[in-house]
Amino acid sequence: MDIYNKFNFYVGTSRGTLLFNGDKPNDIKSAKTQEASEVTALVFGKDEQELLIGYENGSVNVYNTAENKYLKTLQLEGEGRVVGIGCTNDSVVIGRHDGIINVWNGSDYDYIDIHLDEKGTLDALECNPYRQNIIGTGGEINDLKLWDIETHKCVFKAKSLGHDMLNLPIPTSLRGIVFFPGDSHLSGCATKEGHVLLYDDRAQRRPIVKFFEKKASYSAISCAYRERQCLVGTTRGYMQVLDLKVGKCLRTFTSFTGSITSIACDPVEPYVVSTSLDRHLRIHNLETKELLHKVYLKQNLTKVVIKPVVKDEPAEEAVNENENIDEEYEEIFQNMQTVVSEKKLKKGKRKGEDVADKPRKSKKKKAKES
Amino acid sequence: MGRRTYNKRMESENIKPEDIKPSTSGSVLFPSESKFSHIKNKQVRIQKFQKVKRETKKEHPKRTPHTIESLREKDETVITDINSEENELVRDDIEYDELSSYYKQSYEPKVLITYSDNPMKKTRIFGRELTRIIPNSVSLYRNRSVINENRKEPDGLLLIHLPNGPTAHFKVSNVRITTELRKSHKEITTHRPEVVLNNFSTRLGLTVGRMLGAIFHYDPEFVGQRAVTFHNQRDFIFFRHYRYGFDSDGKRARLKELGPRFTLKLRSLQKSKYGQYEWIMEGRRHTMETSRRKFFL
Repeated sequence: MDIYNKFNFYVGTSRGTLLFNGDKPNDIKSAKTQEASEVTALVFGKDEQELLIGYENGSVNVYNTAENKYLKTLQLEGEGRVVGIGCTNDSVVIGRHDGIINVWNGSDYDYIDIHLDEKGTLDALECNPYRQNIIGTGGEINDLKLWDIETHKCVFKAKSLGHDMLNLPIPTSLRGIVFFPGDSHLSGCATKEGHVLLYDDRAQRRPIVKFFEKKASYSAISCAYRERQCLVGTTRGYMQVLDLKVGKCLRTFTSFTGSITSIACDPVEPYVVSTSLDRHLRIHNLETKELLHKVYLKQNLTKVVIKPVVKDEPAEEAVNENENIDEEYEEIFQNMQTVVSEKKLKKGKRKGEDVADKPRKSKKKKAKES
Repeated sequence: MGRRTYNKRMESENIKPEDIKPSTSGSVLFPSESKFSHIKNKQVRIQKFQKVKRETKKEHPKRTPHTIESLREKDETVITDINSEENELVRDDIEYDELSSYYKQSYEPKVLITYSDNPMKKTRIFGRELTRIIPNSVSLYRNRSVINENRKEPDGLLLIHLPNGPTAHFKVSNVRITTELRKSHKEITTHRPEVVLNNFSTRLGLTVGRMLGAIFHYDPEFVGQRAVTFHNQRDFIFFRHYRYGFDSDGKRARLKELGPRFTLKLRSLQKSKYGQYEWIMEGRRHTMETSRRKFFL
């Protein structure tokens, strides 16, 4: 199948194995580890060939995709499972379940303790790729917070959703955080209770867009790379495309038989790769909802990341095309600006002279006379 | 008459009758004629006919008839041989799952049977009977789960593996308690029974079978000659409870049914973490039950 030539996928399973596709279709390779612990975080490192894998027992491994080898294991502070790994410019950020965020910059370890409530936990950690040194955290009884890693300070803290009609606090337990490519100040999150919330840290501490589905319990969220659209997966096994401009569900994918654990979307082409607890990896078309491919991978799958396969020749062509388009656009815009501005100025001047100025003078005169 | 027309046609095409030769390819087919119908003696005729019939039967052995099971749609998750090389990942999976500590015989299973609020009579008896079957089990009522009931009959059963194991939700149907089978519970001994799990072929079936097996003690007492079977057929799991005995030769076994009988059907299988479903049927039966030859267990 030609989809295989377009990207590589790397899948973490509940037994700590890393699975990835080979050159041929249906050729799945595996890389085992010593510890048989669930993969709870899977992220590409700063280097494209570096894959960071976090486990339920709290350790983090570095895996080289070119050599297919585990390179090293990181030592971490804190307790509980690894909930998320983020990569900033020169450091790796690793969050643990009890609320301790480790920062590792190649040689030195450092950690931030985000002081949680007694019952609060850390369940999601995501790095903002569009804004430097900003990470988002959240969990149970722990709403979305944005942190600056360099200063170790909280930049933004979301307000709770308030109380319901019975005057009980509405609980929110975050399961995933997502950032949008168009606007670096936007951050979205999905909750266990069925909310998808969009926050803007410039505007207000309450969410600017709310989407709520009563029956759903979200387990995964991912960016769809189309304006403010995002993909969410539920524990009951369906995936939705949400438009967070208006807070509306656009499409629902229902070919799953188990809880969705992780979603990855191709930034350019309309392909969505998703893993599920029913041991299948599925590739859908984002626009048509068509199930393009389905592979049985023999273990419960927990995390997936994709890497588009870039061949040298098409890449150069693509770049050239982009440049051409940009130049054309710039020319068009320049032309348009000059024309529009002249017209507007002329009109404005005439109107100002004819209509707007005279009455004002007359008013002033009237005022003086009175 | 026929010959004449034949000749006419040949004349019209200017072919001489000497040119026509009998065909050399293939044998000539004669009209079918029973070989023995000319024998007047009925006994001899039948004997000869039977003899030929027996011989043809030997040549063409009876083919097995097609059933829904034999025509089952191919499922890629079916495990034929767990020890084969391609199932290495499945072995790893099983080795470290939540039920693995039972199969390593590290603990004795303890079973608690509870009910929904205010269970009716049949449900209470059904639970009581389960305690007789499952060793080391207690039945407790809730103080003003979990066997569910509807219309005074048990209809749902939740099998929860504690502390962090999977949860299976079954539909229970066709419950016949011991008295309805006109049997006495006094025949059921307290020996630990043997468990027979049949026909759990797919990966999902393997998990369900392991869950059902894990509520019984791993070390049966063969003295009691009690057997409990969970037989899976077309996704329905049939439960039967037998006592077996051997003939005086010790070759053939005789079965006597004892306890209750019921049928289970899997509705969903849940992992403990955040109630995530590993398999769920609800809401997608149209897309999943595409064919009656497709089975999940």
